[in-house]
Order: sequence, then structure tokens, then C-alpha cells
Amino acid sequence: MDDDFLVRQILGGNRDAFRLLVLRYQRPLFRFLGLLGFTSDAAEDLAQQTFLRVFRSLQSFDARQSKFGTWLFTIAKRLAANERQRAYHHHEQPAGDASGEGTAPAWQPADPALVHERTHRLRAAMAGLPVALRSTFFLSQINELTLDEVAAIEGCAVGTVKSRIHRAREQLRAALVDQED
Amino acid sequence: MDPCNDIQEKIAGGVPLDAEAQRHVLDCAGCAPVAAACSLLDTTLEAMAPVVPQGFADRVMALVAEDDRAPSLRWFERRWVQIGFAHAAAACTLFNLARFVMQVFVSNVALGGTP
Repeated sequence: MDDDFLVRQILGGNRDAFRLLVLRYQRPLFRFLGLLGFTSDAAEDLAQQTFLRVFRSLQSFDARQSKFGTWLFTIAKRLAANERQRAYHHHEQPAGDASGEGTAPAWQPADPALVHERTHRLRAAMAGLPVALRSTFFLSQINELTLDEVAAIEGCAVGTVKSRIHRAREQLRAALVDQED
Repeated sequence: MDPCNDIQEKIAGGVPLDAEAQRHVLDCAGCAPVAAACSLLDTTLEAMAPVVPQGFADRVMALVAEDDRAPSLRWFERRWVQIGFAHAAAACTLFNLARFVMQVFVSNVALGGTP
């Protein structure tokens, strides 16, 4: 069952089809929000908002213009940006700019000490990436999205996406390896 | 031709390597450290992904059901009714304006003046 079929089912009144979409996209969405620096509670809240917004706006979704996944992540990206703005105006620690200090880890490390330390370093390195690079790189980490789809969400050319991914990976890799040595 | 540059670009860009490139990486002193570093990056990124909480989909579906049960808008709150009212008000304004202009124009003509 592809996404478009499920969307048609939902619009036809089949609410259970929406559950399938939630189950299909919940993991990549949490991954994206986690990479953006949201803690597990904040990520859950944002993921719920995203799915609710998707459900309410489903009438306006046009499968000829974009794929469902692209549309969903565009909404998630916008909500995450709004949340970051809200946190900024309320002088809270903006998600995604956190180096990991003072925030509860939103993940479960497999090898606690080392992985925890690396993720802290990586978060700090990610916080240092330019915003455009960071957003493109995080979207590229979502397996469900192709480069074309990432380009559609970011509103840039595929070549730009490739170049941003390359630069982001280089910077993050360097940050990890330099401190590992 | 030295394939290192091409392979290292692929590794850095996160592009999956074919079997031949993978064999090259194992034997190449230049590519192996790059691959190891990128593998470390991927593993660390993987570890950063938050776990989807138990029952998340159920909670979303509960929100959706709640949203469905939310009281529907009263008739005068519906968008098309409000747009209709706005158009009617604009039409009334235009009609009154036209009537006012016509009254001034007609009275001026009746008095022999020029409009």
C-alpha cells in the first residue's frame, strides 16, 4: 500500500489508514527531530503536532505536486523552526543549538560511556554547522527521502544538496576524528 | 587510474560503495581511515536517534479522534458565510456610494449647474 492509496483511504473516511501512515513515518520523523537537537519529550510533542497538522491539512495535499513524505517533512521542518523561534523569544535553550550540555539525552546509547561522549561531541559539532548545511544533512539522514525530495523540501538544486551533505559530513567527521586522536 | 579520490568522495557523501570499491577500501592505506571515520560518524548518528515512545501512534490517533469530536463551527463562523457577509457589506457600501454620487450629480443638473 503506497502513501497515496492510504491518503485516498483517509479522505474517504477510513481513519485506520492514518494509523498506518503514522507507523510508517514515526521512526524517520523522530530521527529527524532528534538530529535537530530536540529532546525525546520535545520530539514527541513536535511529532504529534506534525501528524495532527498533516491530518487536518490532508484535503489540501496534492499528490501530483509532491510525495507524501516530502510534504510531511516540510511540515515537520516548519514546525521545528517555529518551535526554535518560540524558544528563542522565550529565552529558552533553543533546540538544535544545544551542545548537549544540560539537556537530558533523548537517545539510548548502546555503549554508554563512549557513545555518550561521542554523541555529545557530535552534537556540539552539529550545532556549529551553518543552518542550511545542518538542515539538508539531517534530511539526508532520513532513509525514506531521496536526494530529489530533500532538494524539494530545501528548495534548492540536487547538486546543492549533494555539496551540502558532503561538506557537513566532512566537518562532522573531522570533529569526531580530531578529538578521537 | 587512482580511484581513491572518487571513492573517498563517495564515502564522505554517504554514497553506498559497490563490492569492488569496498575491496579497495580494505586494502588502501589512504581510503581505510576515511571509511573508518565515516563509519564512526554513521554509528554515532544512529545512536543519537531518539527511540519512538511506546504507544505513540495510539496517542496520535487519540488526538485525531479528539480533533474530530471538537464542536463544529456555528453557522456564522463558517468561512464561506463570513466571506458572503464581507461581500454583501462591500456591495452595500458601493451601492450607497453610487447613490450618494448620483444624488449630488442629479441635484446639480436639476439646479442647472455642472457636475
